[in-house]
Amino acid sequence: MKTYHKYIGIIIILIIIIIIMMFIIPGKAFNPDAASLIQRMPDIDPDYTDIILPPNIAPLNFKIKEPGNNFYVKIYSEKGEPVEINSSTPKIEIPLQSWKKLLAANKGQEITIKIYAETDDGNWNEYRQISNFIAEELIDSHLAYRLIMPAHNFWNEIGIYQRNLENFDESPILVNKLTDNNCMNCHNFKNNDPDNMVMHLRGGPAGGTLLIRNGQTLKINTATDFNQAGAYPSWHPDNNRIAFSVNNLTMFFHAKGTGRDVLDKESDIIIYQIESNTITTSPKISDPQRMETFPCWSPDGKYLYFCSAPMLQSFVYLRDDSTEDLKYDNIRYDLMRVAYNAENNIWGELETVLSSSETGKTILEPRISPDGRYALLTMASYGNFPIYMTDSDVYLLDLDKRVYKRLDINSDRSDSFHAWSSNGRWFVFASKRRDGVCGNAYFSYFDQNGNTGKPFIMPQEDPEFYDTFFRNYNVPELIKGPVKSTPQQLARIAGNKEILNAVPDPVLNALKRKGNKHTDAKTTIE
Amino acid sequence: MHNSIAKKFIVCLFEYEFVFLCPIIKVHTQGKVLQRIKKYVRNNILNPRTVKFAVVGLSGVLVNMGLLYILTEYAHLFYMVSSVIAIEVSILTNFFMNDLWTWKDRVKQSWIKRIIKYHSVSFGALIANWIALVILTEWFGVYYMISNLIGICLGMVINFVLNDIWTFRDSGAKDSLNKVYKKHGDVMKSLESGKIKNRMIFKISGEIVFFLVFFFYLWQWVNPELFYNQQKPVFLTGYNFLYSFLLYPGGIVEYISLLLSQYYYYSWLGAAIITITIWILTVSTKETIKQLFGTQQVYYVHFIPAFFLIIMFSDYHFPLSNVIGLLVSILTFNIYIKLKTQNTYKRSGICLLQFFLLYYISCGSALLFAALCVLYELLKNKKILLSLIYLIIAILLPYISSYYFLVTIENSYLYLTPLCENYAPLIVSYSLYLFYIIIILISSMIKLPVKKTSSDTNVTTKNHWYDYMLQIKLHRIMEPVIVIILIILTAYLSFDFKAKLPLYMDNLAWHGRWKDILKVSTNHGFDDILVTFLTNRALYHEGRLSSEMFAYPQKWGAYGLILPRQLAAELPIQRSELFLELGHINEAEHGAYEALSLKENFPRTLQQLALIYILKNEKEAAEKCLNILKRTVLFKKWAEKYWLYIENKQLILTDPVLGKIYTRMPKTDFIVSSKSPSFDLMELLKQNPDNKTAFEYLMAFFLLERQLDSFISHLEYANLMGYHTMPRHYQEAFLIYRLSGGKLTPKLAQIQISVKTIDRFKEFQKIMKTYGGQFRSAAYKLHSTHGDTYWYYLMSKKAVSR
Repeated sequence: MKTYHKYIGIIIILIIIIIIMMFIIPGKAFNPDAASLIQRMPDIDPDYTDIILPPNIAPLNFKIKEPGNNFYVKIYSEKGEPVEINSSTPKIEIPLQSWKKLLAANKGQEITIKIYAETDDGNWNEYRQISNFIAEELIDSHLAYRLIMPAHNFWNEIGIYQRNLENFDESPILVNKLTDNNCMNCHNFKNNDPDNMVMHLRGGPAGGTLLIRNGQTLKINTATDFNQAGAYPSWHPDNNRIAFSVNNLTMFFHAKGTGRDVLDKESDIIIYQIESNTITTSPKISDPQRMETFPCWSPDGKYLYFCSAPMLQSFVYLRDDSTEDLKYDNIRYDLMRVAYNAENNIWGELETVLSSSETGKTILEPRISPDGRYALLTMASYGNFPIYMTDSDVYLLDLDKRVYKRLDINSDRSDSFHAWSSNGRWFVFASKRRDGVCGNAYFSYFDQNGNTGKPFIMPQEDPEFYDTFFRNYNVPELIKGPVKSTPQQLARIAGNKEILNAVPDPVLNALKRKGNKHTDAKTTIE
Repeated sequence: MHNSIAKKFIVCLFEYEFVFLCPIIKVHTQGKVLQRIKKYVRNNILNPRTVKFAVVGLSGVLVNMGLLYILTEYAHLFYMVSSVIAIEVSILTNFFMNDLWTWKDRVKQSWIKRIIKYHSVSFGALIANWIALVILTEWFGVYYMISNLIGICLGMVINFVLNDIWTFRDSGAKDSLNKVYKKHGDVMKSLESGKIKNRMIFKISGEIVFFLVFFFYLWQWVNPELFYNQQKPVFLTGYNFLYSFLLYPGGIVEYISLLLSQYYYYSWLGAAIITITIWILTVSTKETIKQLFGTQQVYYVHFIPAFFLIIMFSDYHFPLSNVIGLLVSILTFNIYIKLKTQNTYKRSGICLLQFFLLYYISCGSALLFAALCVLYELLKNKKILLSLIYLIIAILLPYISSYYFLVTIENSYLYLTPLCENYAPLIVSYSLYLFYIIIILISSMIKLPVKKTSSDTNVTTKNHWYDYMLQIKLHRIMEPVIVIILIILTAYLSFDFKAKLPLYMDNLAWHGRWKDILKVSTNHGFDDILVTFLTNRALYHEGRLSSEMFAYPQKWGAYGLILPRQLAAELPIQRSELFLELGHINEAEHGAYEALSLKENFPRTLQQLALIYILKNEKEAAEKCLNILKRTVLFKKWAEKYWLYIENKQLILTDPVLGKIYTRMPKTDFIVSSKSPSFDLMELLKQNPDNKTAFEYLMAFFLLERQLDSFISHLEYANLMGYHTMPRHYQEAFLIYRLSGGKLTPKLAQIQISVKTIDRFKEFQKIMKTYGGQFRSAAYKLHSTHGDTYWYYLMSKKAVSR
């Protein structure tokens, strides 16, 4: 060995020693017995206190919002090794593997978080323990959602993403920078199955509806002479039908309060029959005198639930001789359902499940629980776009008893776009409670009696993630695994000029001949 | 080898803080490092001169650190600015101390030359010091004094590297010189070294002057601060932001460009960044040409890219990322052609490794490197198969990458090339890339004769040395002079004032420099709607909108007053800022979000949104915007200031700007009109009758739209605005309304039409009469006498270029 190599070796060893010392030296030795007890729970962000959490959820990393120079956190339960974290910053990042082991070993048990903080004088404060509960039931492993900036008229980057809830991996399903920056959303899965997915891409050469069925992807055009392209979708459990709403949405703005508002000038529901590539409908779900939207099949496929309001013209009145005014804030939707026989394609009785006149609120976004007993709904003071309504809340309707209640999970900001997990024990919803600007995904436990757990925000690796993340989590949907198609594959199919044009079936043609297609209602809102 | 490296490093440790003025004599010792160090210490460090320069070096550190602290803590300068001053002062103090103390016994060149030399050597260290200071402080939260100390250490290392590859480099010229030395002895030696020195001085001076002209042009005329407003997205500190750029090819170059271009905010610094980047590109180009042609003489050909770039930077659209992409490609090609190995496998292996790395770093720019390598192997080395392999891989790699990265096939080839950018002077940017291709083609076609060294020439022709010196001098003077004249000419011809004016005015508006807007507002800028809009805003701020608006061209009518919704996609933040001032808070928010969709996390927009949410009392939303701003380098302090406003509402009320807006915000909801902004202005005024901005804008709107009835019916609000005399345009409009039979009579307190206005109107009528009542015929005359009146505007055609 050459002489100077020795010197280099010595220098490297010294550097390593210094680095090791840097980790060893900080702070006084921690002695939990000497800590002074503070008789309250510590303030942590996100709020992961008093919650019921899935046994397969990723670590609930958080930031301690208490003064301190060093922090010690102990997470433990009845069985297994406790997780201990020493941190010189208030950001607590829980090791993934230790966390998973702890949760797996303690299903149905309480999990406790003890937090200690070292003050300026070198003493330690101990806060009252945080107690959470680990549920027995798993949550679906993935969450699919759209990420978009809080847009008004314009948008830039949009993407449909999926997040592995068991860790922090997020991957795109499709992003619009691969599809000429067009708009994309309205994604839906058949019974939480990632192999059966539909999503709509609006505008540009890549525009159309992407249909992933049993892992095979097709690009279809659901627009016909009768209808525009389908928007809000719902898969029929027979895997051969998708109900779409056809909407004519327009945005308008308020001078005070929440600025944005949306008006649906007309809407219908159509059914796309996959195997025959046909579009059909029925006057029951496409009544010219009413606006139907937000279709949702019952899990057994025997009923189609949807929301319906009188046509827009009914809300227009004359202010004086020359001016028309639209009472947009009187528009309220009822919850309806219609029986359906998929085998014979026969529509049954139409019935009002819950009337807006009964609730005094507009009823939107019905989602039926996997056991068919409950419906989660969104209600707001008026209209059909709850994401912009600060008073929109998630409600639960017992379909057997026809009793509804406002859930405790709600906040004083927009809570909407809920979706069930495949086992019906969890649901996710989008809430703007954190800052009023961006909708985030919140999870809540749902027990057999219709009781819910305190909602908690989707955990992120960086505890400060939500402080600066300027995107909305739109239409969160729980799925049992990842969507396997890559964004590149989907983008190529979307960008392909070949598109399967859906054909109107005889029913639709008959309606067309009768001239039942809606014309735009004239409004004074614009 | 090790000897020289060790010695140079030790020298550089001291040298950074006091760069050598005198050439360092190389000591070639052989043997063990320890012995060499001992010898070095004996010969150099224990030398009184060495002790002196060590003292000077140490003093430089103290000056740098001390000044940084004083300027930051006591003069309250931003530490990044303090640091630049501190570094420069320490370099100067070192220079003068060395000059007057360490080497006072030496016969020297002029002090200007010495100081330039001194700076050129310490420049790299200076930049390294400063960048380390910023990165450590901003990203890693290290105390800035510690960061600076680390920066100084890093500067030493950089200084060492620079000296190793540049100052102490064994140049070909010196080799030739050595040969001559051997032949002709000491006299020749001194003459030749003098010639080479002179040649070098001309060359270096030429380059320095060239880039100084470049720098000053960018700083003073182009003004990189105006590029800043077009940057997207804004650079954020922290790993998450960096990570998002690691996910696609070209992300690294984009990240570096964003890191650097955020400093465009300071125009001089932006100019320096662009100049340095282009200077490095020029040097790399020079090295490439030297290698390709096998000559030391490149005759300023390597300046051609700089010429192209100055044209491209003059149009305010060319992104720095493209220059950096080009630069890394040329640097990588340089490394490739300098490879000594002729082994095909090794060469191809290295090339492919370079290409893969380069493609990941700079995406489409790497294709230039690939093209150059293909041509180089094909034309210079005649290796057809190898070049074919390179070509195939260059075609395939982007295609394959489009399967693995989130990029379209098109972008996998074109990203970070001019083809991907949508702006006008494409021909110039193509030329820039073609230049390198052409160079390699020419190099394969012609072989320049290796220029005989001057010493050889002297020896063979037996010319007297001073004849040769005269020849060289003229030649050497003329070359840089021509190049500098050309750069000035290029800058002059390519500078686009029309492109600059709206950007410049917009930047002034962002900083609230309304007086300056009116100073630069010129007639030929009014084809641009933004110029008209900002001029009107400036007029309002200076209290002149109601009396001087028509002194400025109003070709755009009411659109030039309140930007229409159709322009929301192009000028959203400008709309938003006006609406905020009007108190139309939700429309301000609307505009700000449109702006945010177009330019993510842009500071100006985030500032606007933060203020909006502070005013709307939406605490968490304001915090989110401020949290992002806190992660920027330049707006951290601003964010900290307004963070206090979230907690303390009193601060809003006492703030001269926010307080006013707060009182103007709508008290009850109404639907924002999509038909005419006048409805919103009327509503705002109805809810807050003392909203002077809404009033003056509403009245200006009516005047511009020639709606005199509406104007008169709202004139009574003027009673609440505290006018001492009725604004001139109101008088003019009122007069014409009454004379044209208008019946409405607003109750106006203490407001009268002045005698002067009546006299001017009489004169106006007289001129009209002279031309038979034909405005068309009288227009020319009226324009000179009454062009600033509402009457003239009213009579002129509704020639609004919408």
